[in-house]
Amino acid sequence: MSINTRHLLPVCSLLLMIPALADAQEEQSSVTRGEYIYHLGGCASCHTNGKEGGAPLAGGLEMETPFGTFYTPNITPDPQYGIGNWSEDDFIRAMTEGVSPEGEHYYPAFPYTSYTKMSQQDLLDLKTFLDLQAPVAKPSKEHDLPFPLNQRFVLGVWKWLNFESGSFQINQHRNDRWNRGAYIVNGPGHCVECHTPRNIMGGLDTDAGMTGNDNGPEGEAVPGLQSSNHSEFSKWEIEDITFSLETGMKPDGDFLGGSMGHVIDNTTSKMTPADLEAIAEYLKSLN
Amino acid sequence: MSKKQFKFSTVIRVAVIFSAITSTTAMGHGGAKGIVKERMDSMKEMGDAMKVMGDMVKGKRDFERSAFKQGAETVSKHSPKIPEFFPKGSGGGVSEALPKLWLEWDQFTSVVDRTTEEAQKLGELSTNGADRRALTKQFISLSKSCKSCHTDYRKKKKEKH
Repeated sequence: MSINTRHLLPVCSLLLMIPALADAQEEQSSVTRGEYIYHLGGCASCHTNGKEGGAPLAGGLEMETPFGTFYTPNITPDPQYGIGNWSEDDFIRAMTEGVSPEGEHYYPAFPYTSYTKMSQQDLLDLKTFLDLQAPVAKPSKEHDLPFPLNQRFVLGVWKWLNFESGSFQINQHRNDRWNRGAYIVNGPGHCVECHTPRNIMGGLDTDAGMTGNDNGPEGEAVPGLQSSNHSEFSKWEIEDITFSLETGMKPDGDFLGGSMGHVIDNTTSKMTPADLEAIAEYLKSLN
Repeated sequence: MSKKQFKFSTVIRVAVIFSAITSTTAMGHGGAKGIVKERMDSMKEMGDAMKVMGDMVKGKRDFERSAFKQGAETVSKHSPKIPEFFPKGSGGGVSEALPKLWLEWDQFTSVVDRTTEEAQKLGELSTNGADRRALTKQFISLSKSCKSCHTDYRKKKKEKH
């Protein structure tokens, strides 16, 4: 049997392309997943200065806190002013340990205290997505903090007292949906950052759980989400929670507003119905 | 306890309950008066209408098209009056409106206009025999429009436990 090489060549090159196609497909799904994680994490809420019409993810949003004023940094892929030169390890270390590629500690205004619970896969997908965003060559603004808080080494002490790194641990006694909800609330969604009270050092009072914070961001009182709080929220049912996270409407026909309004815009309204139900199931289990 | 004493204590109890009821009524909306109370009452009426429709969308109550017609009418009636309810200088005190509302007046009124349009659209759908899916979708659009102002221009007072 004679083989016609003229026909063989295209067949062979097609066969060679299959792994390349698979790679491209994998990259595409990583981007899609990364975009979803980007919404879950609410990255744009802080890193895009929407108030002053800043470029997406170029930072510069002013965050007033009892400890001083923070300015969110540029996280576009610009190699000089953004995070374009970061390796995967750099990114994972920043997100899960709160340490920059240069080894400097980050202030916990950046909620690595929650992001530390994120899975490697989610973090890598997020990086894939961020790397594809438009770079902006704009330097990040220095934080405006009083002494000694402007000394980064102080943060080492703070972290030793207030921060525990480590990925999310599945609770074997609970179903998958509950665990998914717990992962989002305590990890990428970083809900605990506002709904859990803080100690005198500004660290999360994790023993108190999500019992609310009277001195939340921008002086707002953030309600507790545990049934033992006997708050309005404790009477909400699963569908009340999912509906309010989608539209902002509370069961009584009134509307959530302020910071939570932005969280709904940037994060929860973009979640899948399954994730909203998972969050609701987890929150309802808290007492 | 003698019969007379019993009666007396009953009278006291009734009086206590009565005064508790009237004082909570008067204290509703944090003791707001004048235009602030008027707008809070107007918002409450819209909220009540939204609640009925919301319960149907969530499946907590039987779905009735007529309720959407009625609810949409309530919101369409109240919504266009919102700008009149927020004259300059009516912030502060028990009001939950943020000063930003008056600084961004044009934007505020444009969201109000959008809310009215969304409510009217919901009303049209409900009379045109739209199905549950279409009504739900439009109700969500209306909700998002309501939320828009609440996010930007209202600071919720601390929830009472």
